[in-house]
Amino acid sequence: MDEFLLLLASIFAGFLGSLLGLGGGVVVVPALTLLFGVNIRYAIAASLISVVATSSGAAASYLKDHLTNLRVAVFLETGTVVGAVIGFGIASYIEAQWLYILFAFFLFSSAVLMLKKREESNAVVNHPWSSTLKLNSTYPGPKGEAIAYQVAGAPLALLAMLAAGVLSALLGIGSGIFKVLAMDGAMKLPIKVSSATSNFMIGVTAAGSALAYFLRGDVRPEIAAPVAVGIILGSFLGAKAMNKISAQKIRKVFVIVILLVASQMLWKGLKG
Amino acid sequence: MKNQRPQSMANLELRISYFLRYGVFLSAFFLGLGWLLRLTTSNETLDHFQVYDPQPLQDMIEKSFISQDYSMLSATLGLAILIYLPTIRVFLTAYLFLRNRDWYLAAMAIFVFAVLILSVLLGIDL
Repeated sequence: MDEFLLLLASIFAGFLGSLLGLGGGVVVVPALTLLFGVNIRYAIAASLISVVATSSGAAASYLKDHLTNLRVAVFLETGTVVGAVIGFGIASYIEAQWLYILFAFFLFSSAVLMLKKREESNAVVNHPWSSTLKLNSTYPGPKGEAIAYQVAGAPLALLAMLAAGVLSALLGIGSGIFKVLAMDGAMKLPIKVSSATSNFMIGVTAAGSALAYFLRGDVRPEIAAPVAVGIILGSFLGAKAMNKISAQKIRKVFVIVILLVASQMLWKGLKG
Repeated sequence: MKNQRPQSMANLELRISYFLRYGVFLSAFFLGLGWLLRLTTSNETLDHFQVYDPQPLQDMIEKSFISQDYSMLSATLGLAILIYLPTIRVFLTAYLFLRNRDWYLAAMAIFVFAVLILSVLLGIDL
């Protein structure tokens, strides 16, 4: 019975996540800990599995649209995997209540970022690193024409990826929000390219710590299996529903929900 | 000529991604199978996951073999396939870059692959 409810909750999480452009972690970890009373370490590991599942399952779609910049992805992945390993190490040493508190702060930041409008500010000049690595590329415009773009701030983005990787391993998230921030803000990539590339990358980021968690025994099949399957189903449904439901209205409601959940997580963390 | 290389690379990477998708389906099959088997044999709830008490993977697999817990073995296999998919993707991408003589990117992909493989060691009590 419990696991069936878990499956339903995960489908809902995947649906919302796909609709709002959020990763599974944002919904999965709080749901598992607050609703199902699962220990946060098991929840984080299960959430990472679902991130790997959705990213791997959808990678083809991101590439097909020719929006994903594979070279930028690989370049940035060097940062995220190192960060993930560091994050795994940190998570192993800090007490569970700090994970709750950190997660609460992450949720508060997500709520703020969700309300902010993403501004299209494209790079005019390649950073020297981008030129050497040939990171600049093109993406298809509305009429199918190839629009060229440059890639700025490569070192800063790499540093941001380190932080994103640490957070991913600590909190069981994909850190998509922060990746997009780094690609929009530091590298000044077109918005569509950032989103696609970020979604493409999060599987590797999550794998950076998921492997270690798996070997250690933090990934419980009883939890991870229904969650992974549910999230995949839910995202699939969410992608289909995107045209029919107004994401804007849901976004506003969701921000309120996130704030409530964040407060609960914070409370749980402070209570000890 | 130079334009063709990125194009064929993109196609190959796309093929790798379709391979990933099949990997997810395969993993889902084993996960689902394991889950079904469990439904018919045990009535456990999620309550006993309130306390953090991790069992190293090797121990869990040994115990499952001994007690013939096929649901656990199937689910674990499903998880293993899923978790390794990104690693396989990075490996194949590195190979692609090497074939294209894209040395810097190949080196980076190899680095990512190495970190992923080595991360496994972190989970084991050495």
